[in-house]
Amino acid sequence: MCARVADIASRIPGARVEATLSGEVLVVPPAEWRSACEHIALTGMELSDLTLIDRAETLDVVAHVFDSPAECLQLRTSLPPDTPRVASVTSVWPSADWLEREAAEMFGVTFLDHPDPRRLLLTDDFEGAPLRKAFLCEESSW
Amino acid sequence: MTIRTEGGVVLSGLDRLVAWGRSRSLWPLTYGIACCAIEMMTAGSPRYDLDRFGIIFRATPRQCDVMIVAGPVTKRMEPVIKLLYEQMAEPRWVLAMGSCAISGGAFAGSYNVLPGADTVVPVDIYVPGCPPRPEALMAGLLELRDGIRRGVPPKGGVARVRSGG
Repeated sequence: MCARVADIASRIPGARVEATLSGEVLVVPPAEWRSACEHIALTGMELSDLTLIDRAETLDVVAHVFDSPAECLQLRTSLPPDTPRVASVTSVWPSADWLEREAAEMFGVTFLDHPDPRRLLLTDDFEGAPLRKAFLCEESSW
Repeated sequence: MTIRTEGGVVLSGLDRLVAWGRSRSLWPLTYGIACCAIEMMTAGSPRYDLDRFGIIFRATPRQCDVMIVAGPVTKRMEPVIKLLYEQMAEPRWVLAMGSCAISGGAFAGSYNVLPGADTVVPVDIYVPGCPPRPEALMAGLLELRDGIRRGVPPKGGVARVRSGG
C-alpha cells in the first residue's frame, strides 16, 4: 500500500503523503485533484465517500477510496474558503455524482463540469451553506 | 338506536355499522421516512402482528385510510407529504409517529426539518417515542380505531356530509 501510494504521489506534481493514525493521506494541490483521482482510479481503487471539512483557513475536500476493507486511502485537497472551486470527479467515479451534489449545497462549493449540479437534500430556494462553521441555525418561526 | 360520542357526533344504525367496519379495516400508508419506519415495520411483523387488527399496509394513498408519518419531515418533503395526503380518499386520518413527526424531535430548530408533521397535514393521533416501541404504535392505532368506531371525525374534516341511514 505504501509503495503504491508513493508511486502515485510521484506522478502528481505537488503531491505529498501524510501518515496519520487513521492511515495514509495523499494531499494534492486543487489543480491536480481530478488527475490525482484518475491515477488512483487506474490502480483499481473505488470511491467510498467524498465530503468537505470546514477548517477556518481552508475548505478541505476529503475523498475516501478503497480497494478492499484493508486497503483504504484518504485523498485530500485544500480550497480557499472564499471561492471554493474544484473539478468534479464524477467522470472518474460515477458515485461521486450525488456525493458532490450534497457537498456542494452544504458547503457552497462549486464542482466544475458536474453533470447534474442540482440541489439534492435542500429546497431549491434555500440560502446559505448549512455545514459551514459560519452558518448559524435560527429557531424556526412557523 | 343512536350513540352519542364525546365529539357530539350522533351515529345512526347504518353509520354505526360503517364506522365499525372502517375501524376494523384501517389500512395505513407506509410513509416511513427514517428510523421510526423500522419500528413500524416491526409492528407489522409476525411477533407484534398488526394484521390481526385488519391493519394492512398499502403503498398507494388511494387505498389508504390512515397515513402514518414515521420520521422527520424535511422542507424538501413538504410538498410530497401534502400531495400524498390529498390523494388519500376521505375519510382519512393521520398518525404522527415519533418525536420528529410530532415536533421535529432531535432535529427541531435545524435548517431542514419542519417542527412537526402537523405544520403540513392535520394530525389525529400522536404517538411519542424515539422511536416508539411497536407496542406503542399499536396502542396509538388502537386508540385511533376506537375513535373511528365511535364516530370521531378526522381532524382534517370531511368534504361531503354523510347522510344518516
